[in-house]
Amino acid sequence: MRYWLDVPMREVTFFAVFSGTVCVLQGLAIPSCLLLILRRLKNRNSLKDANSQYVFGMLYNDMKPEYWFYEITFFFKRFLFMTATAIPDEVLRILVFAWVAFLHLQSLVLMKPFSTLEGNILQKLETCFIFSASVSSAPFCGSSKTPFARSSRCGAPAQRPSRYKMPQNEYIKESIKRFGRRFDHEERMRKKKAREPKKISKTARKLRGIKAKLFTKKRYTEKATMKKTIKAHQEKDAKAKDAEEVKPGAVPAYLLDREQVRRTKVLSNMIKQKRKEKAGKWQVPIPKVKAMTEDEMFKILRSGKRKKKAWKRIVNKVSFVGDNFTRKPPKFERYIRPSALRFKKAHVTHPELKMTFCLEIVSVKKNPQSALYTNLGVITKGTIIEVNVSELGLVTQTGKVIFAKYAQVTNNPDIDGCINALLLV
Amino acid sequence: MPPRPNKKRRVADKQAAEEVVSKKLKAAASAALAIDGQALVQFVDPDGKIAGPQLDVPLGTSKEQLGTLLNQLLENAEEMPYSFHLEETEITSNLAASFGKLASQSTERVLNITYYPLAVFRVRPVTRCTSSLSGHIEAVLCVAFSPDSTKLASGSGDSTVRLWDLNTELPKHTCKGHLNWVLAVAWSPDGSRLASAGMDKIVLVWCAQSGKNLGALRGHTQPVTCLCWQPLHVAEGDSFPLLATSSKDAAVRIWDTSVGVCLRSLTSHSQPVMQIRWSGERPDIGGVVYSAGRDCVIKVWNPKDGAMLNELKGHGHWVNTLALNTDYVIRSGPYSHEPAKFKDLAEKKEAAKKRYAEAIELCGGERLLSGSDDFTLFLWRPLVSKTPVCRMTGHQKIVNQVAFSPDGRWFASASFDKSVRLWDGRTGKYVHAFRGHVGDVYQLAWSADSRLLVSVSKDSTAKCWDISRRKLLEDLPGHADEVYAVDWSLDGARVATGSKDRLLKIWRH
Repeated sequence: MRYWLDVPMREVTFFAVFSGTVCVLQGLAIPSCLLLILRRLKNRNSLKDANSQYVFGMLYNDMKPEYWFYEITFFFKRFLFMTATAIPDEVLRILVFAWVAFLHLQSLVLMKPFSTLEGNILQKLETCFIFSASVSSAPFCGSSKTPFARSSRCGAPAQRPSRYKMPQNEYIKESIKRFGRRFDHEERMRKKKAREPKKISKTARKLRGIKAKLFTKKRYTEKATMKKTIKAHQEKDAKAKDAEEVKPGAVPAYLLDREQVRRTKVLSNMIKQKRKEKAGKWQVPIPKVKAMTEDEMFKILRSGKRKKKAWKRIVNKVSFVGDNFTRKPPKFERYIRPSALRFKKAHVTHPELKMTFCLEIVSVKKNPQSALYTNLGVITKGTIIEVNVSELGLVTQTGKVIFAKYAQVTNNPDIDGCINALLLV
Repeated sequence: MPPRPNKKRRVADKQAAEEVVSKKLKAAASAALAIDGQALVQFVDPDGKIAGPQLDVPLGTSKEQLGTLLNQLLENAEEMPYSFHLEETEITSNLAASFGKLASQSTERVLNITYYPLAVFRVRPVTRCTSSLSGHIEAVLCVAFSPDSTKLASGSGDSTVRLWDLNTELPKHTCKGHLNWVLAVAWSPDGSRLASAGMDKIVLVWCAQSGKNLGALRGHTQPVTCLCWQPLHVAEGDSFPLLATSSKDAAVRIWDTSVGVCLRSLTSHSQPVMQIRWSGERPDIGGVVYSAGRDCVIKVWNPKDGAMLNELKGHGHWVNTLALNTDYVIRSGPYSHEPAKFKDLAEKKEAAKKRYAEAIELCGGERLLSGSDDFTLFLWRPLVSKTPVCRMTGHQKIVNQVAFSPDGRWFASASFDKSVRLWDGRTGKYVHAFRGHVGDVYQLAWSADSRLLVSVSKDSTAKCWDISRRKLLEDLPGHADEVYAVDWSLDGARVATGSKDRLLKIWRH
């Protein structure tokens, strides 16, 4: 009101008389009449009639049928623009201009009322021009004498945005490239992303009116696209599942869903094994072992009344002693195998099944250190032992159960306190 | 007592009997194993009908002599083979030996000797492997001889079906079309088509001659576990027999393979259906379908309108296997052990009808047998009553397969307890356990003359068992891994086994 009073009285009356009537006539009365007429036509469903098309067709012919009223909004828009020129404060005027243009552009973009594409684009262009012109003129509001001319919609080219307060070049990216991100960037982003739904829901609750509408519309489209992508992904996955690869290890129908011990080929290399046995050659997992000295292997046990004699030996290493072993009388017992270091079982791994079983030792086949140790049943790293595999259910090609197979010791049993071995298949 | 025969007959009978007895006396006298003592015997057929008069025979009478005697009494034109049972025990050598096993050894009462007709032909036991057919690149999961015994089909984990020519024992066709393991193959009873199905949920029908794909039947939503053709003699009019399939989606579907459409979907099982059988009874409704699966019940279906006729409950765990005592004749359709040629389908149907009538008479009505994960077997007469005839226990692990002998006299059960057990086909009485396998016994197959049985096992061997002597006849090693499938050709000449070692072996005498 203050501004209004500042303007000289003569101008006010001139303005009010001249442009006021024009504005009201062109901007309100005529379009309102047209709108009423169109509405009547619409209610009678006679929009498509030849007669009414001839008379009022220019108003709605190139619109989609549901937007029969849209042409009228242009009148209102122009009316608003005109009345806006009457606003004395330049900033406010520009703001009103911008708002009207923006809203109109928004409605154009959202509704797409034109049945043909060209009309749509033209209208958008026009509104865009007004919009950009009014916005770009905002910094110059103070100096501009003719904002009216600037915002005229006959298409004054939008001025290039001023560069001086705007960031020059991609300095953020450049900085990231040079110095990297801050140390907790990932976590912050993660947290931000995690907070996002809450933020969105808060906004959704807070917004009212057109903003809420726009917001929900945006959310709706976002959600729809998300659902679509999820579904597309699911379909892709399902397809991948459908074209499932044929799994190896086919079983007949009667063995489907039965818990089965997975077994590899029943020693299909039986013949190979026999041949090797004949040749006495074995490809063993540990082909070479470190030689052991006698001191390491045996401890001298002194005997005799004065402990002068030193012919007795205690075996320092783990040994296997058969069930039916009885110790010799002390006089003849040269090698003593302490019962604490006697083992009966070994943890044997089947290399093809990748499974380990605790199996009984049947005998010691070969100790690579010396034949003496083999005879004594000493088990060191690299020793070939025979283990009882009857519980594995292996059978020969002739359908006989295999009771014993060879295995090689892979650890130092005396240090570890257990025997680990690898089955030789 | 039967009605008294007329005088003429009586005289003739008497004379015949006297003649026989005198003959037998002579024979008995001449026999080295002469056992003194006489017994009154009466021949009775399996259904309890009396044959001929009561006879006073020496206890030393041998099995062969009893056979001659019975042949004369029945006035058979040519000598027919029989097996005899004195009360409960089978007569293996002579009457005295079985008499010794009786509870009341009284010669005062009449001893009933039940006679069972045996097949007139003999199948020679398989002894050697004549060929190892390689070609499959994964485990062989199922094998089946064609009804006319000229072709062999095998399904494998490499998702192919292969057809083999039996005359040359060479591959004939490789049928590609499946996308996953082939779990079941089944020949149509007239031998012109082959159906196969498996993990890829589709059923494919192949032409037996050319190995071409005749059509794909889609509809199941889970792997198909079992296939069964409609018996030829109950197929409607001139139409080709229908096909029934069971699937892990708990449905049984009935298909018309000529058109390639699903006629019915029988759904009321609640768990995967693992086995189906199509019976030849009730030709008015096109046979009866039996299905069983993981929901422990056996269902009886009317294939014509898809209604469930009956539900047989009894098992306490998954039902693994079903068998009919007419399975063999249904499978073989018009073909018998002798080579035969037929003009067209109608002629085949006639022949199949005749064969079925003979078979059903021989085994005295249809029986259904089911084996289960609860280690038991049940014998049913599903069209007579809902309650089982007999519940058979004895297995110590799950029963994987059961099979009736072709004449319905016995049935055998294969179990994971490493034994094959033999039972009486009419009463379900336990007869014998064949032990010898060292691994789970997976499958078994009967020879056409019901005198031999072959079983395959996880221990990579097949074993051929002699039924009459109750012992192992042949051990058939050779496979390098578990043997999954076995079949004995209908002419009895070959046994085919399929194994995890990807080989198909053919065994012959």
